[in-house]
Amino acid sequence: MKVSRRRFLGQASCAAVSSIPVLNTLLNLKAAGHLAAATPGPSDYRALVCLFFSGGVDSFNILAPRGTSEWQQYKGIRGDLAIPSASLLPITPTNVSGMELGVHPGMAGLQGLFEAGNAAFVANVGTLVEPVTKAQYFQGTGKFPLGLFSHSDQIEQWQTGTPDVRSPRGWAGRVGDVLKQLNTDPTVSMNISLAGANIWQSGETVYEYAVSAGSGDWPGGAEELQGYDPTETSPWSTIVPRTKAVDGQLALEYQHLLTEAFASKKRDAMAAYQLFNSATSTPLPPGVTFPGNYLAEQLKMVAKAVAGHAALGHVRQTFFVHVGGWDHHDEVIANMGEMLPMVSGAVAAFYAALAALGMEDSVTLFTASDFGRTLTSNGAGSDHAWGGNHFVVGGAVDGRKVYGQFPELYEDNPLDVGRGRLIPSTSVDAYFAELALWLGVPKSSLPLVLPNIERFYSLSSSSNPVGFLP
Amino acid sequence: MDGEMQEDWPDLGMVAVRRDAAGPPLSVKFTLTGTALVTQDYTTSNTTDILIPDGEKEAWVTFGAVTDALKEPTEKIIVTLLPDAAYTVASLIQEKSVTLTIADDVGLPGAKEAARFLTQAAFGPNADSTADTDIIPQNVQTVMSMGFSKWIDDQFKKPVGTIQPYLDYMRRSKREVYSHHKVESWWRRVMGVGTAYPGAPVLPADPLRQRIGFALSEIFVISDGLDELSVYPTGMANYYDMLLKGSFGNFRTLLFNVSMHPCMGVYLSHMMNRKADPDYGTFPDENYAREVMQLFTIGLWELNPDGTRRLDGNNQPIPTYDNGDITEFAKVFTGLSFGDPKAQDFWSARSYFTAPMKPWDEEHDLGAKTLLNGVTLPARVASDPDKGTATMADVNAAIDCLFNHPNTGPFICKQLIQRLITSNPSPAYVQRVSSAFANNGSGVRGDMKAVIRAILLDDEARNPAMLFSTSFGRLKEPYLRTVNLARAFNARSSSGQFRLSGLQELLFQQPLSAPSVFNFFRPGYSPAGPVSDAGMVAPEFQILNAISAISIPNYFYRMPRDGFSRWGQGNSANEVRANLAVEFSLYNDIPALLRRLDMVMTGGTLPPEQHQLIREAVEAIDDDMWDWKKERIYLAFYLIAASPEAAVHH
Repeated sequence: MKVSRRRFLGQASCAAVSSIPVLNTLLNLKAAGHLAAATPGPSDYRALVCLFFSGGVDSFNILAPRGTSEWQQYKGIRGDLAIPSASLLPITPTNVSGMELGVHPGMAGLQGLFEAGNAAFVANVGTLVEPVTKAQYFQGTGKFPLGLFSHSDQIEQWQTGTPDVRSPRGWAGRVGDVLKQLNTDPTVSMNISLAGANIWQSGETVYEYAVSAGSGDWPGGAEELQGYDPTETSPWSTIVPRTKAVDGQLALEYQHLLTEAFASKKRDAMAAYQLFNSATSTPLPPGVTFPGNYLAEQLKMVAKAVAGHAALGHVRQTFFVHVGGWDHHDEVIANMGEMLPMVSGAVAAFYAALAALGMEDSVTLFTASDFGRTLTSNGAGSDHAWGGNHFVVGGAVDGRKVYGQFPELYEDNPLDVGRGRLIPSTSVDAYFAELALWLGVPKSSLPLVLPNIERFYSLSSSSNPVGFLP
Repeated sequence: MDGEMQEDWPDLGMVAVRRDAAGPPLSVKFTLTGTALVTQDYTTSNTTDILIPDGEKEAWVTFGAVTDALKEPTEKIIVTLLPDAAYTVASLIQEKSVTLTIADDVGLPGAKEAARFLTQAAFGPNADSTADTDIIPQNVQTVMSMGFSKWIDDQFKKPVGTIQPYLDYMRRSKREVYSHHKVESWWRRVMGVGTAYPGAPVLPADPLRQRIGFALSEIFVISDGLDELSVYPTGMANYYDMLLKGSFGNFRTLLFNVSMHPCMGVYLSHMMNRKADPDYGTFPDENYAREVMQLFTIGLWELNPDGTRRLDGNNQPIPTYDNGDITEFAKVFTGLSFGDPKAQDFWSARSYFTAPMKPWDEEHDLGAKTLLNGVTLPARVASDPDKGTATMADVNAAIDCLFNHPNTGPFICKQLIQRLITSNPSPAYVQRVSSAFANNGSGVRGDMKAVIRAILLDDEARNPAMLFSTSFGRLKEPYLRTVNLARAFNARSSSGQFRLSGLQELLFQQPLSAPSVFNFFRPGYSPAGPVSDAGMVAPEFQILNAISAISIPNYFYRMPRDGFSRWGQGNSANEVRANLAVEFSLYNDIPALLRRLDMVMTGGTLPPEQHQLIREAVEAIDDDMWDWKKERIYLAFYLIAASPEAAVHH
């Protein structure tokens, strides 16, 4: 219960960078002569947007075979979950031969982005501790992700990038530990979340700054404290004593760990909201419109924060946006038929907004989800599985391509460990490394961000981990 | 600031010695008189004088009660300021002299001890009766007179305050029943209204059961976030009532009823789950099979009875099951359809949400199954005519297998401790509770009454030394913080209704509205920073972010002015308002106002720094300001409600 005066407001959030390797990284980073051509300079703006489908999206119905023979194979394993080939929207990847692919009928926006070269797919990505085979799976040899097929574990691992260890730290948080000092103003975290607290953006020295998506006429943004105004001076206003007392409460130092952690969250939120709301107050360019759905509202707020990056003092940002409700153990066709058009429309509008801002080459959106789903049906639904298909969108993406390996979809194929649960042919580590490198993490620092990366990618390689962000 | 002391309770008595304005160091003299004797009855930081430091406005004399075996009446310490050339003592007697009391250790809890207990076992202190002269709430006095153990026993006997009758009443009154009605009914019960609906028979309040039922609803999660459930609020209320009824029963019954409830069947999709169909290439749905193990009984890792993970020879944790086990359990949960009494078979059952699911052997996987820990189920023969007996034999065997698994006790008990007492219970505490789960003393496993007694009466929960721990305790769930406030000020609407749905936008929480089966927060969540560095978890921090860190104080800011609803009510008769009548009468006696608010809002735990800060802020509101008398009360309410001390319970 003993408390003493805090030296200055917000001290707790100003902890020093934690480790020497991180410092070395920064020194390397600032020595611009050492940068590879594709690596951004310290003052070049770049941002990543993680679009997380929680619940485990059935992504072999987002990207699916469309040509006659491969569709028959797909139909054979998916049964009542197969989308008719005539309904799939055709795409023409420049790096796939011998098969025709299509996207979900509700995703015309994504189809358009892909065909225009501003989007790509990465096929059959998932969590791996090390490369493994089907034989190892059944023999119980080899190392496998903890809690494979379980929501909570797989959601966590898609954010941590460490499927062999449970960790409260995510890879964007570690990116933040490495890169945040490039930002000139630490008041608003470089990791901005439209979905509250999350592991992905939690690092040793960085955690998410949560803001709200708008809704209808309400613009959303950062929550402001009511009845509080440090500029108020009127002797007749109750705001003056209230403001002084609120500041006084925050300036106390709390001995109890939970009490102090609680106060610290509020201090950080108070310090940030005015800056965030003023930096994002400029309207988006005329002609930019977003559909009226929850994901679109989130991405609209992201676009505003991208537009306001200079006012925020940011040259690097990450954004976490989230759409839940993909755990379709039942009625997967009907549910995805309703939900994917919303996703596609929102993502297309987001790209158009970035283009209108002239920022489309500086922002890359990628998708993530707990896991793919069983290719076989449980009778109108699918169950938890492993590898799945994902997409990346942005002007920097080498688009109109399908990266990784699109797998064979017959039952008991060499990747199938049962019911059409596929061993991933590309690890999330490689997928994330591609994104982290593009954001400006030096290759030598990749193991700080993704500790297992060297099991999937040689740091001395002259090519990229996956290739979609050359 | 704090005048009530108790012999067996270490909370200090405190007296603030104040001057008009800050200045150079000033020594103030006083005398200590009264029936209590220094050293023999109490210890004190200062016996004759105290130094107000340079630049400070006040200093604090602290008093600690000395516990002895003597039977004594309540003793008094009178602190009286003495005159001195360096200062002038206030002329009013109440400003130059204060009295503290030291209650004897009578083997029963004192007021603060009882208030602390009620914040763990129930919804915190109630509003004090206005007829009383003291500031001790009625429910606190009840605990003080009964003691903890008898209070718990008494709660075990209270009739169940179910929430479905309110929705049934709505239907009988020919009104549409919506999802928010179950929240309104929930509020009637936690507020101890006494009637399930207008005109219903009056029941005594059952706060312990309501508290446990709410905790169970955060383990056995269903949510109206799923559209298919949100349109069946009566069914969801029926599910919640099943948890309330099971709160003081046996865990095995609870687990069985959860597994068979149609709302869980829809939520985790084992409703109308069919055996494998080779013609269509379909397999049993694995959803419930997985979550009943991962979340409702045994968790992912083999546990010791103290809740820590067992390790194999390579120091690695040991998984409790693999996907093959899930496939086997998935076969068990096939053949269950709606409990429609008119159903002729598996397929003809209509949606029916207020009876358990009905088993049909025709769609049940009848093959042999291998469950966990060597439990095997034989191939079975379908009943004819189909009574679902083979299905139920499998379901019962699977429930027994999970109920008897050595993980289930520590897995569930640790989470209940986290909901009620502390985020980071010691392994020994978990072990003591899980041994009560294993055996209630009469050879019965899974007796929830024994578990609840073990949690609430454990030394770790009751030992006052924990008041001074810097890690014990928990961040209060924001929804329960709100209930604490509503009860502390006897919040009511003039129409008698509790139209309080929609608070999840502010609080990130609402009963039966979790974002997923993983509840609002996970038991293992650890926020980055000092908490995580200390190896601790703090689940409730998962819903504390830059939005809720501000939206919740904003809600408390509006609460005393505008009421408890999110936006205000179109019809003011429905606005749920705090009763602040007594507080309004204290607008000019700020120390008394703060002592009173401190007792009901934090159980009397606000430190002197907060008292000083809040007192000075409230004093700064004077008759120059609009509505200043009320604004004083609003500000005191807000600053205490939003204080970090009020958010964390330990």
